[in-house]
Amino acid sequence: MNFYSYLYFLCFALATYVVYLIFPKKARWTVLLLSGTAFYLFENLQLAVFLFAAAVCTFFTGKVLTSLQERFNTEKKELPKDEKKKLKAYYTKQKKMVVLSAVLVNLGMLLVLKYTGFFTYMLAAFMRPFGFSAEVKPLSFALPLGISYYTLQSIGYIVDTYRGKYKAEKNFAKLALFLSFFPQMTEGPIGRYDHLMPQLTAGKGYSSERFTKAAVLILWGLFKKTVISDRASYMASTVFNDYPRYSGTLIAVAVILYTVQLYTDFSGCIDIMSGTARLFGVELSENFRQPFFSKTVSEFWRRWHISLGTWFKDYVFYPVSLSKPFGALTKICTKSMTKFWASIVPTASALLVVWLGTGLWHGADIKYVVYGLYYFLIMLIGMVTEPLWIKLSDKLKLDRKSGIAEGLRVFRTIILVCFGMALFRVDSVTDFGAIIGKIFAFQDLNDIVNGQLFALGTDWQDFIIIGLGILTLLIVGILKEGKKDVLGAVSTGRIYIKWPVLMALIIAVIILGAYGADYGEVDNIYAQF
Amino acid sequence: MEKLLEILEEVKPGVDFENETELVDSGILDSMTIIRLVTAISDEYDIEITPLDLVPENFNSAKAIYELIERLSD
Amino acid sequence: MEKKENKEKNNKGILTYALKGVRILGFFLILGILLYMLQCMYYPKYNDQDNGMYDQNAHAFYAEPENTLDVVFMGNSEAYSAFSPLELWHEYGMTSFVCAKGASSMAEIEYNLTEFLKTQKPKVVVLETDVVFAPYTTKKLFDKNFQDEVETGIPIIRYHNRWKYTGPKQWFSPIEYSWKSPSKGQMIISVSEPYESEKLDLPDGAGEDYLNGRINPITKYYVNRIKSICEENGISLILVSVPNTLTGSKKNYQALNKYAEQIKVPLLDLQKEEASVGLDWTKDTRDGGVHLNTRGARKVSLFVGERIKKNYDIPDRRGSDTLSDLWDMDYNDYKKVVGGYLK
Repeated sequence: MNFYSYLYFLCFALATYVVYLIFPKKARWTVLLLSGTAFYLFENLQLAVFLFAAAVCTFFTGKVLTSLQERFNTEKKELPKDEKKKLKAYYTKQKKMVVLSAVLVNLGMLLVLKYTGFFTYMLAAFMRPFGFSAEVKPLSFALPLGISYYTLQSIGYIVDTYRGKYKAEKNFAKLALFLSFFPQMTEGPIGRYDHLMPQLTAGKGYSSERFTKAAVLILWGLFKKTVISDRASYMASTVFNDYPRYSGTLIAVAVILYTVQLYTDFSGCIDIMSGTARLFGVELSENFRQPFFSKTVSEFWRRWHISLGTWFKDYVFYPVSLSKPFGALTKICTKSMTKFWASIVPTASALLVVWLGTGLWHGADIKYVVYGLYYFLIMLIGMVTEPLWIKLSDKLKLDRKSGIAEGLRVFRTIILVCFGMALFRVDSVTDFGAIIGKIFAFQDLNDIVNGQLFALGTDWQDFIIIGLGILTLLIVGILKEGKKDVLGAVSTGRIYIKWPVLMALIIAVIILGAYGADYGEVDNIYAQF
Repeated sequence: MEKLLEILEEVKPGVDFENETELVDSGILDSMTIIRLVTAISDEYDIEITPLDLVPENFNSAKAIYELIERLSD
Repeated sequence: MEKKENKEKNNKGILTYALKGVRILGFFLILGILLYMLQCMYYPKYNDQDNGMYDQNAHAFYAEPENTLDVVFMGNSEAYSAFSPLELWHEYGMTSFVCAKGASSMAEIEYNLTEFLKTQKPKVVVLETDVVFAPYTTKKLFDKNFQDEVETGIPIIRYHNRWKYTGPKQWFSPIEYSWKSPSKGQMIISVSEPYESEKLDLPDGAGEDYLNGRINPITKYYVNRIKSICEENGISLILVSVPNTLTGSKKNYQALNKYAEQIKVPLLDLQKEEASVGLDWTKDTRDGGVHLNTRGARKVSLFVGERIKKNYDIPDRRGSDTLSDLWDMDYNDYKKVVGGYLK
């Protein structure tokens, strides 16, 4: 069915595009707003009220913050220097209260709708040793579409206006558009107001170059999703859904396939959405930058789901690190620890907050908290052991910057990430432990040789296609790393380059897509947020 | 400027801070290193750096960092 | 002078647009040709499952000699479980076929009818009405029908996966549909899983509230299309409703009777005629009341066959020609398989 949901989406996008082009340039953004509303209503009429509430809250908060800032600017002109500081403190306090309440409202909606079940579960678990035992019914509410994305996007806007980065949006409808631009609704990327708004209101029209670039990106995303991701998903799901039945070898393959599935699914969908946005002259921020070329896990998270990482950096990590409590912590550390530890402990603490948040953002379950902690620990260990590595490689006269060294690092990162994905996929941490145990109890490659591998939903021909798909991604990735924008070059290239590539992509999706009677349905993984 | 280069060298040794102009863009200064740098700088120069200042343009080169410090010292 | 320059500019503008249009057309033309070539390669060349035929039983009609089928039964799994062409042959000399697919969409039925009419000239089309009450939401119904419209309209979408199973031999061979269904499309299941009583006790409503007694406009749209096709070809359309526990309910049957009156299509409501049909739900169902078995199919077929014979001019094709002999042979084979069971 998923193949057709993409078809519907593209039809919707095309219909919106036609109406958009008919409208005069200055009014085109209203078409985008209306299409976002229609898109949302298609999904779920009742839950739209939450998005509306978030838009209202965000809009008024922005206006209040900007007007407070302006009042401060006018008032401070008339004051002597020492009074200015007092005034500033007063206004900062005012602004802080406004921000806090707004964030509480917006974040609160997300927390209640998404995390109530989790909180009550944790509370019950916490109280149990104290004799409090009650059957906690898992409370779960239907989630408004994209709530995890638009909530962060709105909080970003609120904090930016607090910081005075830009003035608040004066037009409610325009702000509503900022939070409901339909290509972003299901899977992000999480956008920034100053980057997004000018593009949304520019009302760019048709240009054959932009249209081709958009089409190429959309087809590339469809290719990743239907040819690679969906194909890999069958074997991965078969094994993960019933892992006790399968040998460590098969589980290891499933973990790798799942990682492939997740990457091509998420980045493929983002490509389709970015291509769609491009039709309207909107370039969404980059969300993936060849993540599997990363040499460290830190780097991985700067190349994977980039908009989430930068959001946590700008709105959690930096504010926490530059906050007063944090400063106090740093002072205590500098006094009582060696220089080395004094530089690590404070940063690591801020990082811990980021990773608990990132983990939890992915889901309302203890498993996701562990997911975040997993990466945090890896990074922490990396930070702590870095001097040791430097010493070691100096002693052994090894070149840390050599191709082999970097290659090993990339390999190590991929392995660590695959394990992280396995944790992300399983139902619980205990399942993760069991799976790791099975993988390390590795016995033999029998199941690969005897054909069991090809009987789990993905046959040998599928594996070949997946392999070829990965090869294609690798080549395109290498070119992109070398700053060669392959897709862009193809889109603007000559007809004998453009046409074959476009046709090849279309034919690949139609012929090699994993859809139809022979294939089952596959869910979009990142659309449940 | 000298003091700044000293701090930079301490926070992230082995980098040619005098000539490098893409400290953030090329990933030499990641967010954690920047925080360590900022803590050291705000201590040393007695200035207050806010998240608003933490943009690549202000940290891509030693010169840019120095200019930021001068601006905040007013 | 200016007017002439402007006119030149305009001409250039129109020319560029025209060229752009030609290029776009050219792109889709070449793409279309490539896809068409692939379609010819992957389209099933023989009408059985091993060779990729979608739903081989329903499509076994391709192998039947032209213009030899006078009645066609269409619908979903209720249809292929309740109608027995070979019984109709033996009792009335009526040649018929069951062209039905489990959980069929209306779009698929319309397509099958169109295909059927390419080689056959039936006098009557019988539509089993369970498809009218298929328990889907409007969204799901739309998806299902849209999907089948796309797949039947652009066959490469339906058969694209055949790249895995075909080679040059299949790609370049011509279409030869000669696989026959020994039971003329009927699903032979001689198993009995009894319902709780001899008579079917139907509830007021079945399934979700929003489905109860309501016929979806999408379904109505397709019934109309099927009706039009029949009218255009001078074929009589009748509806037959075989009782079942899945979608059978008083509300549904009321709505059905009303609808049939509305669109002026004769309805044979086997619920109403229960006594005459003589179904015994402790013996005649293969799954506790959802579908009939071969015993039930025999009873229903004899009843429906008699009604059709009475009201429509269906020839008795028993005689001494090859067709009659072939059907007799098929019936004898059928008898060998189910004879003991039917006693």
